[in-house]
Amino acid sequence: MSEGSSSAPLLANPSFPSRRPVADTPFTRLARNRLAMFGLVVILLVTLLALLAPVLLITDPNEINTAARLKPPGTPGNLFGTDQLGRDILSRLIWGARVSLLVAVVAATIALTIGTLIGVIAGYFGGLVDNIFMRLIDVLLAFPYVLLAIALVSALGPGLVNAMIAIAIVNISFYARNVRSAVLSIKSMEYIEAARASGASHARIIFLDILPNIIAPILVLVSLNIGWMVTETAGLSFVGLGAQPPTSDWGSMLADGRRFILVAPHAIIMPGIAIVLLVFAFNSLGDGLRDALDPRLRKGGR
Amino acid sequence: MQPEPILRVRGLKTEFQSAAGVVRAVDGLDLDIFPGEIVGVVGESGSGKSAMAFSILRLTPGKIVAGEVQFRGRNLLDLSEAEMERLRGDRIAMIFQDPMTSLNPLMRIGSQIGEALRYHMGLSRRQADGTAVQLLQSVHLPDAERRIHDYPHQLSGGQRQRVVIAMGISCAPDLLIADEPTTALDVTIQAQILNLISETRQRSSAAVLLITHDLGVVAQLCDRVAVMYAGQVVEQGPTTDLFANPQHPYTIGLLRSTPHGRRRGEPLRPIPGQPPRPGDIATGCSFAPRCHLVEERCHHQAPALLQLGGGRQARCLLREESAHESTP
Amino acid sequence: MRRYIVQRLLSALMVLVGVSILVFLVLHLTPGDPVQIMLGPTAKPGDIDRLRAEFGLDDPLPVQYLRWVSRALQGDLGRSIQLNRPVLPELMGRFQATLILATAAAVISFSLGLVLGVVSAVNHNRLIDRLVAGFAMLAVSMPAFWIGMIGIVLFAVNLRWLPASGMYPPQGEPSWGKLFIHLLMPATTLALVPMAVIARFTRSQMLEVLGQEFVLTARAKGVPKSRVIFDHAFGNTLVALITLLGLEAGILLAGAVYVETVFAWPGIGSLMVEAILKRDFPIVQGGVLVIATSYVLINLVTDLIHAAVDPRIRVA
Repeated sequence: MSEGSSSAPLLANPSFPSRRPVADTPFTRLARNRLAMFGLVVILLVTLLALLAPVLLITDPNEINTAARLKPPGTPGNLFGTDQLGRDILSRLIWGARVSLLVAVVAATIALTIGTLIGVIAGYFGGLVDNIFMRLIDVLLAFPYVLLAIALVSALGPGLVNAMIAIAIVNISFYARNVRSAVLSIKSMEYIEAARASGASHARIIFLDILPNIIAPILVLVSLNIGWMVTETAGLSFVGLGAQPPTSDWGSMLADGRRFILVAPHAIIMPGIAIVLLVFAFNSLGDGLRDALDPRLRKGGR
Repeated sequence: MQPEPILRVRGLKTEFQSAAGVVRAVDGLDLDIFPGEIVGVVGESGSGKSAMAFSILRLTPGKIVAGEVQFRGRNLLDLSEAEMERLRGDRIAMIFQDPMTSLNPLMRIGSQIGEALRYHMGLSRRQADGTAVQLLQSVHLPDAERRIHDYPHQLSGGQRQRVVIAMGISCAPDLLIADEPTTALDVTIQAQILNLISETRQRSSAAVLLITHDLGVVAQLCDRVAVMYAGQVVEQGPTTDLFANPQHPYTIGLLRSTPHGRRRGEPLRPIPGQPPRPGDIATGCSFAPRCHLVEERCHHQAPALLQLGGGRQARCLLREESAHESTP
Repeated sequence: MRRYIVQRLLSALMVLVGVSILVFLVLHLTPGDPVQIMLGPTAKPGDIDRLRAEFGLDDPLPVQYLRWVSRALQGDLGRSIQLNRPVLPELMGRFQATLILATAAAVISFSLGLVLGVVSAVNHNRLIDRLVAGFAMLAVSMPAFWIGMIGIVLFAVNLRWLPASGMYPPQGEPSWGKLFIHLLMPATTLALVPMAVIARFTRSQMLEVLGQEFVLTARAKGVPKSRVIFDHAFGNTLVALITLLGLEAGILLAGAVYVETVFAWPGIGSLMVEAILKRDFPIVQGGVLVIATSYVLINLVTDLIHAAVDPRIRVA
């Protein structure tokens, strides 16, 4: 009739209960999110390729063939073309995925463990402990992420392991802050109070009552964070602070290709697409997880 | 003969899109409001009270699919959006439930009250400020001259609701819709705000449509009352009459379930069952599944709103014998 | 308000002290003796000891720290004679180039991000909203250094519209026009991620504001929809956006490291990368300190602006 959906975004929905679909669990919500599912499939696929790299029937990624340098994509035998030494780009991408994924996952695990520990202790005990930890985190946050990583790498010396350590340290604050606020939000809930009243030890409450209940938000943090770590590892390798020859990841492939940008742009396009695809996959899965686990945070929701 | 109603709603139907499909929040609503009276609309949450109010102002996020809303002889549903904007806040104003959220936190009180004055009466900022001071005085907000320069967070909940009411009456509307205006307030403040609404009505002769789930408020304030159930008015009539002698089984249940409506010494008795969710209304009377007087025909035949005399109406098959005539 | 400012200033000061300690420690706990590195593997033990004493490296760490900080502070005041090497002037020249780049990127990302966010919110769940969401998701997934190179291939190599690198052409007088042409691609590249972040934030903030009751109240007062969006929703969104300025500054300063490397922009980021590869620690240390300090100051200013604009903080 007159007032259609045109004014919809301007209006608060007058409260009346609406019927929920029959199955509305985090799992079904995630499964219905096409973008998140796409992300999951890509991640699984890349992981599978990386794991199977040694048994896949692909060219040796380090086999130099000076006769076939910088061949364009589509060349028989070199689907994605070759690099400046005639090495097969597809094969190098698959082997590089092992490095990129491993670094991101290990760095995330380190940051997650330490950050969660700090966040839980600060949030749970509060008071002076909280204050001290949070001031320290404030100092870490005073550095733009990449800058702190660069400072650390410069102290430790360039190299993939050091880059990984730097990236891990830089992200501790991310986990610590988010975990702390998650802990604060459930700390005063009745079941925690009840556990405390019944004389349970702090460790017991933390491990049995608090941690299991903040796993969902932590999961979201991890998936959103890993994508960033993949980019960051590639970035450090790209500027020469990460993977050192003969090790090679997607970032160092970009650095190699950069020198031949005029004659063979595919040498940067292919690794770049690989990075974008994987990071996009992690980000969309992370967004999907967040929406599925906490409908209140749903994009555009209230 | 009664005077012409200022608002005459007929067969109003409003639908919402939801994950579960189309939901009809207002389902063939009929309602009359006469100049200068206070009409209470009561019902459980989900009965479509608010959806009705927003539909009258055409501010509902849903879709109005049928019916008419005659306001001073014009069907609001036929007006253009621009004509509607000229009407809102000027001839029909609305007061919202939560004074904490119904004021813009970044705008001074004076500017927010002045907004309607500037749009509808063409006042300058300065003139609007002057009028805002008078309005705030009329809702008994002390220090009005200073208050217009304050921001909402500097006021208490009760003070904010006074500001909201001042905003509502700024252009002396013919109809003031108040959607649960006291629900978010402390009990002591509630009484003051209710007095203010009643005072406002007396001074400005605006009709008031008061949406509430509190029968005590209705008993205290309203001339007439309309009881809503599942998007329809199931009973309406003069307040004292209706409370003394409810005709619809739902009204009877509602009165028994609250301390205000029951007879002294009688225990509180909740209505069994749940109100239908706005999606699953089938054939027959929507209250039939919970009705203590239910008969077989109630499940198949939808009752019409029956005229019972004395300004009383009820939507119940069991009252057909006492009805004078039935509306189509 | 005054109390808030004092509190905020004190906390910024504390953070700065922490930052300086951290910067000092990180580079002093570096594995390997800096003097050994400086003199090379053939150095005699006597020379090493002498130089260590000369640099004060035998003093306790707190003493070394205080000496370093007081020198840094004097350097900040322009008395760089106290330093053995002129790190500060070099850093400042490069920092200026970074600021030009970052400011240009901030302007691009804010203006476009804001427009995209508002358009999305007002067209909630329509095609344009989904397109913007998709674009934003893609933008935050693309490393700046890669997009920069693609830009070079496209606009410098193939189309020959824009220069591939540098701040000015190698020959000829610098001018604003030349700077602008050189700035266009690196600034846009650097702006992509923050633009996406701002667009998403603006959208969700705007939707939240539009869902609040005061927006409905304004509509019920008869304020036209477009005016409600502008007078009520946009103002509240902007105030919330101020809190994002600090984050934005962080993204820009960090992204500058890569973008400067790709486009050979003579900024502090590319300087630091070069310095690390050449193991030139004083430059790295100074660079980290300068960037971190300016980042802390930007955050401080952001919070103060927020306090000045938002009456809930200002009038309290």
